[in-house]
Amino acid sequence: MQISTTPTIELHRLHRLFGSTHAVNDISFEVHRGQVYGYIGPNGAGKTTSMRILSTLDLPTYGDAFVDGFSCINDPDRVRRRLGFMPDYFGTYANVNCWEYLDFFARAHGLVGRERSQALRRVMAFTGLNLLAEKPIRGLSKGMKQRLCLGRTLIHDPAVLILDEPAAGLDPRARIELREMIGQLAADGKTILVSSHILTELAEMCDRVGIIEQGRLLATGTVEEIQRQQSQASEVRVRVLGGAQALSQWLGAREDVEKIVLDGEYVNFAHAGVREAEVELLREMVVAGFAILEFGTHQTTLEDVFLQVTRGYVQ
Amino acid sequence: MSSLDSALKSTPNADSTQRETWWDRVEAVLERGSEWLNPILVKEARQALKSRQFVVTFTLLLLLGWVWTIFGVFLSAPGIFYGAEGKGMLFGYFLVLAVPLLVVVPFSAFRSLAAEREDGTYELISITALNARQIVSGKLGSAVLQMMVYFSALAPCVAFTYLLRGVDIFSIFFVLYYTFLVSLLLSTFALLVATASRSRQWQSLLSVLLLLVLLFVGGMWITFIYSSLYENIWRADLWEFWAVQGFLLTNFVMFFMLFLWAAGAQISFPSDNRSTRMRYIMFLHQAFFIGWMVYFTIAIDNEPELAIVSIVVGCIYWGVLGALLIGEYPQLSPRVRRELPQSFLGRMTWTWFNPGSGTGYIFTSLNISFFAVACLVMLSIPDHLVQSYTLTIATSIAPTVATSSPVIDWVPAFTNQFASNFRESSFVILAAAYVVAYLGVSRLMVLLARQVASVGLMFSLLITIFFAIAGAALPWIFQFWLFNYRNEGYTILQVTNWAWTLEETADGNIWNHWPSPVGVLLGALVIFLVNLILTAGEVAQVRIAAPQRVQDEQLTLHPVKPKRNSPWDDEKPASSNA
Ligand SMILES: Nc1ncnc2c1ncn2[C@@H]1O[C@H](COP(=O)(O)OP(=O)(O)OP(=O)(O)O)[C@@H](O)[C@H]1O
Ligand SMILES: [Mg+2]
Repeated sequence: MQISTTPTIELHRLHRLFGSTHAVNDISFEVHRGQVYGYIGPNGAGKTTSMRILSTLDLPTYGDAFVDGFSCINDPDRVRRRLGFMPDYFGTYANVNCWEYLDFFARAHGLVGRERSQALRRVMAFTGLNLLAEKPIRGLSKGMKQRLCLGRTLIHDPAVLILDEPAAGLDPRARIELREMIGQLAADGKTILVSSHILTELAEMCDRVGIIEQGRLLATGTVEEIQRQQSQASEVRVRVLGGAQALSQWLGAREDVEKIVLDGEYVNFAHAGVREAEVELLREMVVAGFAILEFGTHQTTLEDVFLQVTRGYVQ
Repeated sequence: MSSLDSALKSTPNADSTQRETWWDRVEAVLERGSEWLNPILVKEARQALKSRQFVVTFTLLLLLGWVWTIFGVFLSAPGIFYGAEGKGMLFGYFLVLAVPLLVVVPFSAFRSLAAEREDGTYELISITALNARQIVSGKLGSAVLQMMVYFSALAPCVAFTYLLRGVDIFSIFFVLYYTFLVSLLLSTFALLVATASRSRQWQSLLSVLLLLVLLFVGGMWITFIYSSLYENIWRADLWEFWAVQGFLLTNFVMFFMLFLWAAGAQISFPSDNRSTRMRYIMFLHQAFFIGWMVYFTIAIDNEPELAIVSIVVGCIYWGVLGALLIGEYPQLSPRVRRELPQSFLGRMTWTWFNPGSGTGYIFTSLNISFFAVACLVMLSIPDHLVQSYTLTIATSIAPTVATSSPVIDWVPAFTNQFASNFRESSFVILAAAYVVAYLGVSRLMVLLARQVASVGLMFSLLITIFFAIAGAALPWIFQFWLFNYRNEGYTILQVTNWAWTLEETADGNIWNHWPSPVGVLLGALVIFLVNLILTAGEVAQVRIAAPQRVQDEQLTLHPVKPKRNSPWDDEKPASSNA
């Protein structure tokens, strides 16, 4: 049934204006089946707004969004069947326990009889809510609520998941568990769009990320791709036994090396070029007779990328 | 195996080693039954069982019922079974029921929907498989459930009144039946109010207004029931009584559907068609209303007043609804345009049911004209065609038709009757013309306002009310000022003053100022034509094909043979239909 050429999630030149605030400004990207796409950006960047449009809770001012090829504007019912949305708030009801809550949403999704009881069992087991079935939801802790929310999102077994800051307010252990759950869901073939402020976590979870600020998508791709887009040079750190001075002079003569800094046995410098060029550089150093002890390119984190890409504007 | 499954179904942590009790079995049966119910109803029934408000109201109701029984019995202790105490007792129980049914249930329906929208749970439900109308019906369902519980709590008490003298079974039945209908209609109205706005400030203002309306209607209803019990209006022995019941029930059902669909439309997805179904209901409502009125004219009473009352009701109905319809937006979403009629005939008739301000105006104008024509027909039905106190139209007309020679006798009979009702006919025509004219001007204002801002239903309603008031009041004030505050009677200046003009028409003097009614008719015609020309753009919208992806899915879900577009292309793939 899955048409491999259609991206499961597609945003096409999406705009959303609230009065004069351009909350979403010409955002386009695609996510394919089984991928986890991380959505990062400072507060007020427009993450929630674009996720709500994708979840058919809001309409774009211009542009359109597609889930499995269906327009979020013109075929909301078809989109809704395929999509689970976990918002950044938790909608509670008075006098309802966890099981009743999930049962209600299962019924609302049209699950009946055995199908529903299986869905409930599956979701409760997956989110670890089994022991809390009879607990009133108004009395749940933040982490438990978050699990219940995820359970609600998964109850109709949607192919696409949109999770708005699912890790907010969780303790470190719960976060790791959440990460595992998301990994498991992606392995099951679900397409996931997840937003977060916690960058290290996103980096581990996501296949690709999009960085958004002031409604604009500043960069998209894998963390490494974005890093490469952003700066031509990579930072290299070399440890050499004796002759650090000589190495820095040798490097200084080269065209592709800049910003040489001596640091005891270490020489730090910026090298312009792809990885193959780095390998070549190392070979040349060894051939030139330098006793290289360590050679490492500095591992860029998502945090570095984020700080480089965004400018800290708030709208 | 199956018992284990059902136990697991009803209680998620059911210990399979535990023996099945009778309660488990009851639960399993309930569970299976609940499959067919609206999920919201199931959820709210579960919530209600644990909610304090429900328990308190219910206990209070029971308590008051018993207190009234004891009090009433003691008050008339010696002759309770001989005196006519039934009415008093029944009215007391009715009072105990009235507060929960007329105030508590509708208001909690309002709160329950408003709270869903405030807490964001509405959004969570709206992206499930439930559509907006199912959500509203679910809410209404739980209101009905509450009513049922309150009714059954007082059922033994009410049954007790039957044992007393002074009250018959019909009175008891109709008091309860109409109280139920009023409660249901108020609850639906409360749900409609809850969908009107999302902002908290508006919601709190609306809740105060709604409470006032409920208290007012509740008070009126209590007074009405009191007088009805002592004036003996529940006359089940008269067949006119049953005809009126039919008339009331039809109107109740139509208003109920109108409110229910309007509430659903308000909260449905913005690219949905919010208007067409509402227009079907309005159209149907009008058809039923006219049908009943013609029936009453023929079968009960051939009085011209019936036509006058009808046209006044019609003008208010179409005035209010038309004022809302002209505020709609004409841009049809691609989703709506996929379902537009395609054939020429279809487009001629069904176009006026499409959403849009222009189609709304034409739709309203055509309907009020139709209404006026029906009233004119009522006014020209000859007296000798009508025989009172007969059961059906067939039996009343058939003998007359059989004995009279057709056409030759009939035409003068109708025209004579019409001529003798000339005053009433003028009233009918002018009233309809005013509605057409005022709505037309308001619609032009809406079009003008849309050049600078996006205005909707609220604007069109307010601007229509403004025009209606200004059009009547300004010439009136102007004339008094002109004649130094002396009453000089009706003049041609009052041509836009619908109130005075219609009063003058009712008095039979309007044709003495003939330029005025002629002006109204010509004005209405010109305004209608201008609006018709300006509607061209809306009518020009044609059907578009659903995207390929949607057609593909449609085909895999419902593999049917593609419909042929014309007899000549026999076997073609579905994608060819454009
Ligand atoms: N309903 C609304 N009305 C007016 N402005 C809005 C509305 N919703 C969002 N905005 C504005 O749109 C911008 C983007 O908001 P959004 O909630 O999408 O940001 P976000 O990236 O989710 O931020 P956060 O990380 O804080 O959740 C903000 O400037 C916000 O003020
Ligand atoms: Mg957000």
